[in-house]
Amino acid sequence: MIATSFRAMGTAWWIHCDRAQDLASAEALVHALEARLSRFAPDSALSQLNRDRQGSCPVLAAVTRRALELRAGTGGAFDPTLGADLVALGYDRSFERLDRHRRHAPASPTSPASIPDTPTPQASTPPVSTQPNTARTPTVVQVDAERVTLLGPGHLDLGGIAKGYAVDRVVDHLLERGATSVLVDGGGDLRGAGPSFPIGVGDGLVIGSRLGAVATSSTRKRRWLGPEHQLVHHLIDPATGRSSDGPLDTATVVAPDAATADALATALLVDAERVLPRLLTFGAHALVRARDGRWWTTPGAPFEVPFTPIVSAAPPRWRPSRPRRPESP
Amino acid sequence: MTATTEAPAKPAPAKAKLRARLVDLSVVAGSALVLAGALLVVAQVDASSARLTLAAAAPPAPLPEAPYVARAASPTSRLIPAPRAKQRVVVVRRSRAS
Repeated sequence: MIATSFRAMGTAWWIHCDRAQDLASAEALVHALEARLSRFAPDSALSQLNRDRQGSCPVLAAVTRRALELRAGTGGAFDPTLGADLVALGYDRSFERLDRHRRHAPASPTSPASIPDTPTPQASTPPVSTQPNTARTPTVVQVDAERVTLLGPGHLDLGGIAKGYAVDRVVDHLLERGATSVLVDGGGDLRGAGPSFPIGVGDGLVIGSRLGAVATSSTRKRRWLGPEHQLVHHLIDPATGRSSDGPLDTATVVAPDAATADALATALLVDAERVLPRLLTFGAHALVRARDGRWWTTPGAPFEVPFTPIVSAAPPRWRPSRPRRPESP
Repeated sequence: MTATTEAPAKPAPAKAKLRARLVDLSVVAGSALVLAGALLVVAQVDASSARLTLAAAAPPAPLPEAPYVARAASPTSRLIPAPRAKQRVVVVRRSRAS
């Protein structure tokens, strides 16, 4: 297996594959998806949609369609229409570009050498149409073939599903090209194909990659000081438009695909009571951490205590004799 | 002429008697000490039983309560405690929040 690593979508990526010649195209695919789906790129299809309230892009339409299905399946706990609320809370640029004094997260080991402290022009004073949806008027999203239309206030934000979607596409891309052993890690969203790789989850547990895609979300990773100098994080409660305040701070989900795992991990932290009964309908299981630090799982979850194979010891008479050290004078 | 042999020297009977009496005396003295100690113990027990009798009317002191260890409640319904790993193994990759 050959591996490559790079940064995309604000995080570190690793792609392991048994076909070295396809790694470059896999990386290019990730960057191409980011160019279409990032709300921080002013020329992305998503940014154009949020500005013009309609747009046409096959990738954008596919991801939006899937996001809406997940919104319906989670009873609204996962909601891709909260982009304006994130901007109102101060998350108006990629996280590593937030002002240093506002960031309240562990320092990224791969943070760029120079981070501008002044906001980029497109992130200053948002136009009226992007004002926070304080009245909680729902944003209607219509997807018709490759065309996406936004009705009402609010912005589309695909941050809760885009990484997982990209992981799925990379796996498909490599398998189509004849790879037989693949493991893609997009910032902690993982999916494999071929052999089962042990993936670490939670506090020392493991899960085989053959059991599904794995994604983790946490309220403790991306935190910053909001406009009212309160500590906020990036997981928004659709009911309030503010950072969620549930009993869990970390959720790991295993699901048939990475996009679903990504969205469900987010949804669990927003409204666990509503989402937990629905996990099985997605074929998913969860490993979660409560605020007191204790870990919990859904019944029947395939997360395992790791073990090392026990190698049977040879009988004493077969043990090769150790060479004796020469005695010191 | 009859040969006369000198009779073998016999241990002084006085010394033997003295040694025997000293042994007896030591045994008696030791026994007396043991008996006296036993009498002291009995006296103490009698005294404490008297105190217990007097204290019988007072309410008994409450027994110290064993510390109560509460089992952690699930943060939400439909969750069970996760298994706990006792050792770490090398994994290919790790799922983490980003």
